[in-house]
Amino acid sequence: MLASFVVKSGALGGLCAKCPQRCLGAVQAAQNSSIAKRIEDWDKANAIFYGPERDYKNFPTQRQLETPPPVRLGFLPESWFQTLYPRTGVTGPYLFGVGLLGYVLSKEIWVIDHNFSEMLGFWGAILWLNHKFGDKIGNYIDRLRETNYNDWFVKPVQEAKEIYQTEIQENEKAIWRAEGQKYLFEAKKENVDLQLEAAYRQRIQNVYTDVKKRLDYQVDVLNTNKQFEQEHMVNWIVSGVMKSITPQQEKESITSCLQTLKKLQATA
Amino acid sequence: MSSPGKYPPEYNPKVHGAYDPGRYYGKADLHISEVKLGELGSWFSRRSYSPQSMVSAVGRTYWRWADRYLNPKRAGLAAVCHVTLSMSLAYYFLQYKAHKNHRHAKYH
Repeated sequence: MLASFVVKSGALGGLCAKCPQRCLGAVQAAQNSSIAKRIEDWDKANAIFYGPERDYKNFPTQRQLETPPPVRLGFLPESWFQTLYPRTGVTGPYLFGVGLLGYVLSKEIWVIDHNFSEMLGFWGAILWLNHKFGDKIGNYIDRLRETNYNDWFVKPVQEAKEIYQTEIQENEKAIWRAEGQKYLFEAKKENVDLQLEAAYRQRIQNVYTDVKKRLDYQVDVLNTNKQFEQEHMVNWIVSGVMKSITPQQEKESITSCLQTLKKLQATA
Repeated sequence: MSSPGKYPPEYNPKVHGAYDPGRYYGKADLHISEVKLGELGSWFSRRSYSPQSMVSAVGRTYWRWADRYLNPKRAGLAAVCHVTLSMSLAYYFLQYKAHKNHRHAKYH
């Protein structure tokens, strides 16, 4: 399982601390070690190009321009005009252009030959097309560029960010669950302790009942012995007495009894 | 002096950052627009005229132009105009002898 692997590898803790991009890289790195190598290279490149020695003032980071620098007449850089202004005034550059054109035409360095009409037609067509369709074509190309940029850069980055965000959340949940295991373990341990305690008490109870049984047996044995001895004694004494009584004595006692009864009858 | 396919020896990535092909990394001289007319001679004498320097100067110029006019996000028609006009000029002067035959005036 990926999540547990990431947690085990410790990649998240170490790498997430720096920045979210690094975090994405860390999740990828856990999946693929070549990406870990790539992150290493990235750090190396960053250390080279954006280290402490970097002179940002004289060598600022180059960025793609949004639009080209301003131009006049469609192609002449504004900066040329700005360079000439302090030396020649506002009309200077135009005067220079017209003068140069006049010189070149007058000396026939630029010969107006039969091919000149081609140039008029070509640039006329360009100007007309630019005037008529320039905005539309520009907007179309901009839309195309925008969709390409979104499809090939913004969306993939967005999707990757979402994927790794959910991945991070799952991993954090896994960490949370792993922390929960500690409490679960405690609870189970307590449960086992309770079972051990119950078993201990059960055994003590067993010991108590067994000892009591044995003692009761001893008491019963003693009681039975005593009872037996008593009965035996009584029987022995009674039989001894019965044996000592002779038939003569019995007759005498019976007659004496009868006499006593008669006396009682007389008095009653 | 740089050899082909290598960075110029003055280029130090730790100080200069990512390599900008449109930039000269050697010791900067005055821009030609800042030079006074009398000092033009000494300015030109300080330039290097070896073929390698010339080639790399052309390369730098191309990249500076391309970064400004060709590579921006919303590049306009200026780059197309530059290329077209330069090629027109170049081909005009390439066939200059033929064009000269069509001159109207005998004396200028």
